[in-house]
Amino acid sequence: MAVDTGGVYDELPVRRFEGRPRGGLLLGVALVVVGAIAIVAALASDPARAWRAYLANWLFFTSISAGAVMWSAIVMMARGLWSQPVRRIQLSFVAFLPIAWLLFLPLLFVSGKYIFPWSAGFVGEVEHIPAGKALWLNVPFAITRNLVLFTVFVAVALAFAYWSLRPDLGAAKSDTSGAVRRLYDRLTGGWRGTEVEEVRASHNSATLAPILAILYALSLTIIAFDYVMSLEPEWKSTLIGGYFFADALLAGLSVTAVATLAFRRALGLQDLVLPENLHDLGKLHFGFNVVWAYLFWAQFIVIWYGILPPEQSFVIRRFSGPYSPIAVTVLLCLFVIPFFGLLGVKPKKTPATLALFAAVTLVGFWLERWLLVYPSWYHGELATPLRIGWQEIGTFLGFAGLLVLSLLYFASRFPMIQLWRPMAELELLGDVVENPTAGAGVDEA
Amino acid sequence: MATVIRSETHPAIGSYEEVNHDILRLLSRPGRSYTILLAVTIALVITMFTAWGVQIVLGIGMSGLRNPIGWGVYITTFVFWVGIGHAGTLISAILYLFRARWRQSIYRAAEAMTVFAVMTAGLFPVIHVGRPWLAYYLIPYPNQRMIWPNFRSPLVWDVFAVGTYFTVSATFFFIGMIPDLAAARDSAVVPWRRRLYSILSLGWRGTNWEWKNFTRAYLYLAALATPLVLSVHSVVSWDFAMSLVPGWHSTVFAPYFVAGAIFSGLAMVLTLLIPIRKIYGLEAYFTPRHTEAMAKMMLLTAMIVSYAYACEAFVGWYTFEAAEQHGGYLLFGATGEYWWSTWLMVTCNFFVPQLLWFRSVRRSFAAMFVITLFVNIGMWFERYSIIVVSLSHEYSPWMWNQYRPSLTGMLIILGSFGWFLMWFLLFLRLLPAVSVAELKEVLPAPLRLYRRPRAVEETTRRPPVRGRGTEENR
Amino acid sequence: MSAEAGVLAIFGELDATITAIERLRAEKIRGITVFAPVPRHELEHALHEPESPVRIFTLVGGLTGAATGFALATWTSVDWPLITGGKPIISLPPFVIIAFELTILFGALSTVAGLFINARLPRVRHEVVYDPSFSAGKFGVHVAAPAGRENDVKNILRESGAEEIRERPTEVRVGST
Repeated sequence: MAVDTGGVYDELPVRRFEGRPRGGLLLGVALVVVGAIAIVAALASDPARAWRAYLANWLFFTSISAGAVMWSAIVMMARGLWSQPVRRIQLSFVAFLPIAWLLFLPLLFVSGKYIFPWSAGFVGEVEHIPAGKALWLNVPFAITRNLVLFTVFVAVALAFAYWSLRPDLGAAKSDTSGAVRRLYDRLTGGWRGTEVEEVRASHNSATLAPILAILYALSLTIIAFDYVMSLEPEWKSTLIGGYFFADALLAGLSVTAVATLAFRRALGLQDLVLPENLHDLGKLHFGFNVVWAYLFWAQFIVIWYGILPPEQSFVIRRFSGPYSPIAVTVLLCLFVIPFFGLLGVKPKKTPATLALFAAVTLVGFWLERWLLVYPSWYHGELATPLRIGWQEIGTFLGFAGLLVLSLLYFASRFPMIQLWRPMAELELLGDVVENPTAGAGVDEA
Repeated sequence: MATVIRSETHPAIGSYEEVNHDILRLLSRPGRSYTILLAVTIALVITMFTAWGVQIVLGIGMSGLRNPIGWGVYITTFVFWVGIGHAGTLISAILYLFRARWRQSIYRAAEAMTVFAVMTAGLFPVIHVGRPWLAYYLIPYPNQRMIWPNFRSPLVWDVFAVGTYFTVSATFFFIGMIPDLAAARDSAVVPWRRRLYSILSLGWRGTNWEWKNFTRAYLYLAALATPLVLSVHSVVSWDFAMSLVPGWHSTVFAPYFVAGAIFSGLAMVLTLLIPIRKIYGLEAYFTPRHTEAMAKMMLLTAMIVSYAYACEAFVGWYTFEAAEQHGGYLLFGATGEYWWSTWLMVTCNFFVPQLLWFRSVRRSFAAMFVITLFVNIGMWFERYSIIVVSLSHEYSPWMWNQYRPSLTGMLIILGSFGWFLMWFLLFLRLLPAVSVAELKEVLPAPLRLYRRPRAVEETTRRPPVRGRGTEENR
Repeated sequence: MSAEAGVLAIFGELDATITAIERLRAEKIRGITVFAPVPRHELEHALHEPESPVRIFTLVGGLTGAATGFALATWTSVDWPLITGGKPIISLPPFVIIAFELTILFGALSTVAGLFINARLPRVRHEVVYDPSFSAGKFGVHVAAPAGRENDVKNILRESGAEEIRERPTEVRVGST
């Protein structure tokens, strides 16, 4: 259908938390307090364990939020018309990225000797490190490359978010007051009128989106090289970077699904986020569960087949001994359960089942990030007991609290449904939304 | 009279009947230039079979293969042609699932390209093994002394993958064509064509129940073809990655090969369609929107391939193993005696596609034609680098050797292009080269009243759109 | 189709066709066959057809393929046990690949079988109601054996905007000529 007369709403669907969502804030603060206590207690009792728990959780939360933000850029680049009601929710995770950046600093500057087996004074079993690798594996260089790339990534993500928000802030400004109004005024400085602003925003976000994608891939690749691959200094995998960031895209979708359904209830978005949109989201989620399985398999079978000791140690450490139940759980949660669960149309369209399988994927994803790093430190005799204890869970709760608070910060200020559409998508929609009897797109035959 | 609303994808097409007229007119007696071109391709095919015959009679030494380089230009070309096929499945199946609105007018030609590319690729393992009369050893069958193929060998996986790929893409190609063959039957004048299309269209009438089953079957075939296409080039890549050859034993190979396959295939689609558009006057069906969309996907896949080059080179260096550092096709390739091949590959697959960042380039048929030629060349040399450079520098330095493609080999490769083009040319005149039925899906349906029936409203209900210009017009 | 070939109406527009279908259905007239040059969801919605059984074929074919793949690879490996490349005789990872390919192959072929069986293709000999314009741009509504309600049917079709109405339309062989 080239003509779309039905879509134009008389009233802008501005949906955000008016005032303070007390319950959510309370939950967030409580989680942060619990997490802070847990981290401090862990640091006091066993700093190595505390930093390792910190790293696993940082990888998890950074991956999911960066993945979700990437999706808002991807759907824009791909002109995914279906995604209009969810892309702002994906974008809202950008609020966590500055926090992730801050949380990265102690990891970079303080935790080195607890994390990197190749660093001086490593606390733990030191493995053989091939000569010459110090060229790459040295702490100052590791800090520099990670910090520079991640900083630029977060900065571009914020710029992308700004240009996605700006036209909406101008449009919704008149309905706001107080602090929100002042924020909007500041963010829409130099406003040049709705039409000009939408063109500018289309243009700028179209430029920023591919840059963001490249930075996302590079930054997460370097993080994977340093915080996953180098933990076993003799191990190598050319796919680990790609696996790491593509996997984060799956998690970004899962967390989008969960957040969409949560906001759908909390903000009453049922009239905007339709079952068809959930269906599309579910299809993409299903597809990425398969992509995950594919990438896992691509990495696994090459290593399995090669039987090269330094390569296989990585797999053997994870698929045998005490870790094997976790590895199987990861396989089940990231592929088998969501694959069969989301196979049909109904489970994708039904909020409860979509949320369930997205949540299962997220659980699997947390375990997977944990499994990427922990067996590298605790293997052989150290592998028992499995280290998922109060340190890991406490740190998780603290980070989760920060994520909840940052999302609430975003959702109580900005519209949670994107109001404007980029030019390219209007073109795709025919842009003959106007009067059907006049205009270039229509003629009488 | 009915109001005609122009399609946003194909604004120059007015009605359903116009599509039938424009497309089905190609199913007619060809002109002189077509006949000459067909004759040239047939001459090339004869050249290929002659060269192959010479190789069979005089022995596999004619191919220039010698230890340790047991795989040369034949396997390179096999991988090249299998890769070409991938874009067809991408456009016909994956983009179908993604509901991309620009694929309808080009997917048939892309799909035909897939089928013919796999047919071409399939020749090469048979040429390569030297004794084609024993080719049946490839199929799972207790061939001698009741020995079955070794299912732990990636070469057997390849037989299954490529065999399945050919069967499924040929099936998909044919099934998708049934409604169009019916349209061809209904408008055919020449008796033999009428008879041919009557048989091929299987008595299709376009009833609601036929369409219902057809659309569902098509959807499921697309859903099956999508993971298949990922698997095929992955399995091809594992032919290499399973071996412990420096530069080959790499985990990134599967996704890297898939991305490269789609990259090269899209380039080939454009190389074929840009001249066809001009010659057959299909300007209304193949517009700058199409080149733009395909150029963007080429850019994406070029970036993935370049990312894989970077990972390969970095990890090769990072291992600090002499063999990886000095044998890998990227590190060694860039400086060793095959430097020209490696740099050709990097230039064509990384530097040249950077032009695709510019919208004006993406929308220019001439520029896209030239760029895709570079990409075709670059992707062939990518496989050449991977295979030949890696094999010539394995772990034992005393085994190092060099490889020069022979004249026989090059003639066979040249002939394979003739073989591929011959089938494609026959396809253009014998089968509907643009999907008549699917194109109508993106055209607005003829409506009597401007106000659409309720059923239409319901299926096109969309989340809010605040159109540019709502203020002016409301 | 039966000997009483019913009424065939030819429409030029989609909305008129849908109106006709909706009105015929409202009048509880059954035996409607709709011809279209293009599959349209609107027609499907108006007709309220049952779901196509093809998906069962796909599923069963796929599962059969997976089982066949594992069975073939396992059985032939055990049939002549020969260790190659240091891999176990029954190596699941490689067999997964064989099973995967056969899943797709069998799934696709049985989908095609499902299509042919359910859509009654190929239709070679039967004479059926058809008009060549249905493959170009026209929509058709055929009502079989209206059982004494021919006039109602014809009125509905005409009022909905049929371009042409044929009683007892001629039957043709579309499969071969």
